[in-house]
Amino acid sequence: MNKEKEMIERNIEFSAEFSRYLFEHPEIEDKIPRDAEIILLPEYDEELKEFNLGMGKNIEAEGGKVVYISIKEIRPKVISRIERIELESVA
Amino acid sequence: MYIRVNLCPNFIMNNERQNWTSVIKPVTGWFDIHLAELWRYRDLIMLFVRRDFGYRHLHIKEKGKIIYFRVQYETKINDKWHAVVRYDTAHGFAHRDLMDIRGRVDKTPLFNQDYNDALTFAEHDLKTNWELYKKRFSEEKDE
Repeated sequence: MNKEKEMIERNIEFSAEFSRYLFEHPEIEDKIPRDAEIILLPEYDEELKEFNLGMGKNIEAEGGKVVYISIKEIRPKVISRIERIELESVA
Repeated sequence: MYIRVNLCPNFIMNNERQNWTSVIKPVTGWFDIHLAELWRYRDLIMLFVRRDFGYRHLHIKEKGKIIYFRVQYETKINDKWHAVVRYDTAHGFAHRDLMDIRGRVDKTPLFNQDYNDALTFAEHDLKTNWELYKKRFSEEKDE
């Protein structure tokens, strides 16, 4: 997989995560100007952060308004939400 | 759309209809969203996936519950943004819209009607197929 494709797919994942965050934190919406573009900067993913920072600087250079959102931490992915099971043998 | 529940007999006269005691208003579906509110929140969030590939988010909450959401992936052609694929709960059901440059929309219902599940579906679908959707859109453009 080439690097840019990988960055795009990571950003797709983050865009959905950001939507989930907005569902739970509507107060964030009020802090984002309506005409601004959002750039996500994950602090724990230096590669993606640099890629996105580059996009943001390009938009700024073209006169666009950009809001940078620094993501400090992310929870690990959960495969199953089941916490505990018990097995009972019938044989 | 409003549904009225009449607790009086059906043969009451019109001037007695103030006796209706309940009005049930459905909270899902495009036509139930206050247009002014939708206008206020239009294009709520736009973030970049790439310089020419963007993500737009919109949701509306009522009494703490999400009653409508839309996420849309867009591509930039000749300095203009075009919607390529959209997932939303308009018309009362979660669905995916695949667009083309001529404005045609191919609508596919999602089996999961919960907004969070629909979002998870959107994420996986996009991660798997974003190149295909973009190519499909571009091919439509070249027709």
